[in-house]
Amino acid sequence: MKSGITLLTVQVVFLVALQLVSLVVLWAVNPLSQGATDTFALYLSIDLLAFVILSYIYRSGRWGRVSNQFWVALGLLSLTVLLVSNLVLG
Amino acid sequence: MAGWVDSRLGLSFPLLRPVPQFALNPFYWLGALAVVAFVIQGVTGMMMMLYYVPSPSQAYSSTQYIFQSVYNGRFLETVHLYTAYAMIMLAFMHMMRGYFVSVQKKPREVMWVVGMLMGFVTLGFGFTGYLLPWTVVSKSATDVGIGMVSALPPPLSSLLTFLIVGSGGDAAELLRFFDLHVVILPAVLLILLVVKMYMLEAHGISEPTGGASAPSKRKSTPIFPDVTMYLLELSLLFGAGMLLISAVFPLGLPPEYSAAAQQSIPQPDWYFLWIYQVLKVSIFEGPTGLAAALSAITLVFLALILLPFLDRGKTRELSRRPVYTTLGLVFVGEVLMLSYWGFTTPGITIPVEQAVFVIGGTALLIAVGSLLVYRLLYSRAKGMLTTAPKESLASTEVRSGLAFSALVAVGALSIGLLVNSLVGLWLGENSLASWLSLLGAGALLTLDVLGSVYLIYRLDLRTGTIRRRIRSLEVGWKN
Repeated sequence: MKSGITLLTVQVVFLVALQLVSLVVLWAVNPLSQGATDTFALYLSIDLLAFVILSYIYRSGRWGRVSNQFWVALGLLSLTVLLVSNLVLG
Repeated sequence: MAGWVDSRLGLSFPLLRPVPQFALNPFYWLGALAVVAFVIQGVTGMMMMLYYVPSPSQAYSSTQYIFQSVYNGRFLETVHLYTAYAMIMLAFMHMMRGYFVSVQKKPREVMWVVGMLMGFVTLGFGFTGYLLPWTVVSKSATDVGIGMVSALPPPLSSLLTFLIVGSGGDAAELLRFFDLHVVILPAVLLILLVVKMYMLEAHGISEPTGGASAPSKRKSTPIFPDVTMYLLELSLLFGAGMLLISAVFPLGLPPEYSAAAQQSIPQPDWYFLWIYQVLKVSIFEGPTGLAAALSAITLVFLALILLPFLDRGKTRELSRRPVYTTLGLVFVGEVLMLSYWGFTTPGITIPVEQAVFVIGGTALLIAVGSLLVYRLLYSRAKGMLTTAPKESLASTEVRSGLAFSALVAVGALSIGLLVNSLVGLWLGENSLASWLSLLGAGALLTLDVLGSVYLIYRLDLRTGTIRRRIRSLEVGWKN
């Protein structure tokens, strides 16, 4: 049987694994007190959103398309807003 | 190395069919996102189960312990609750999307029935989970729900009462709810999910309503890694949204239930508010009235389950199903309006005249509006539709779908508010708030109508009919 796994597949698996590791690290090293779980949730959402953008850009390239710059810009803007608001609130 | 892993684990075994390009659209994945929500709930629920004690004396204190002393406990509780809300919302949207694009037609009739059963199990999760923290709000509302069950016809009432209450008493009731919530309902949902997934693989994904799509849109995309990545993106975006909501609106724990606190006004969670509002109509007070209301609600649910056997027409296009599309819009409108109305009038009995005007008026306005749209636009474009390009009717496009959903929701709410304000003024509530509400609802409805006209013009049914008509009218006018 011909293997269906290519270099791209390995890259995808690597990306997913990297993201999972980062999630686990984020969970494990959370230095925040009980009252600061909101900040923790915000950081976690930043982490997830960053992965979504990364994956979207990568997938677009894989499908031979140019990623829609509007969505990428919107995602980056959302990340910036979240990060700044997190820092201000923190 | 990769080949070794694949040959040992069989990753490239074609278990799931490739997905056509047209299905790579969030509206096709609402059900999958509901499953993702279910998984998140499973994980957070299992973590909380390590600390939760299902007994009346310790349920509240153990929930409080999770909130205050368990590492990230409040985070778990909040995410668990909001994901449950999202699961119910996604299941409802999945059902209504399926309704409007007629996924229930041959050969997917049984899939629809199984999906509806999954929807009821999802509501069951909400009903049973609501009681578990043993707060004054949750216990009072659940008791009202249990009281409703006992008003059902004898064999059904005794069976359901046995299932959800057990031998009687608070301890048995809480234990039954806990067992249902963490064991029985998840098991039933998983079985139904497997059955539905099997049928999905057998029948494939339903095509867009316009019929066979363009060849480029029919091109298949392999499940792994392409579709998996797409679904992962959607899931993580959904997860990020849930986390944001959890951070912005952190959960608080209401006071503990006690016999003395039973005097508080019972109000169910938002997804049962529309039923709650119907039951508050004065004519449904008393055992006979309650039985009549429950029978009517049961009939609505039965009609939804048996929809594939009621809507026997072969066509799936919105443009050729005016009656069922209008009925669907009326249903969505009534659910939204009644939920909002129920939320704003807790514990207040609704006079029957007011209920008739508001419920009937909302249905009438939505029906007239919908049928007018058909009369003015669809019927004139009918000839063009039959010869339209096969990728017609942009119902599968994300922005069109989102705009349509938003317009339906805002339209239903504004119509409900408008009718409610008019009835209030007619009944003598001549206050500034009533006039402001009337003005706001009128403005909202006007915006909604303008938005609808703009959307229809932009969509143009993908036939060019409307635009051409307007252009020819403009030319004729100039000449």
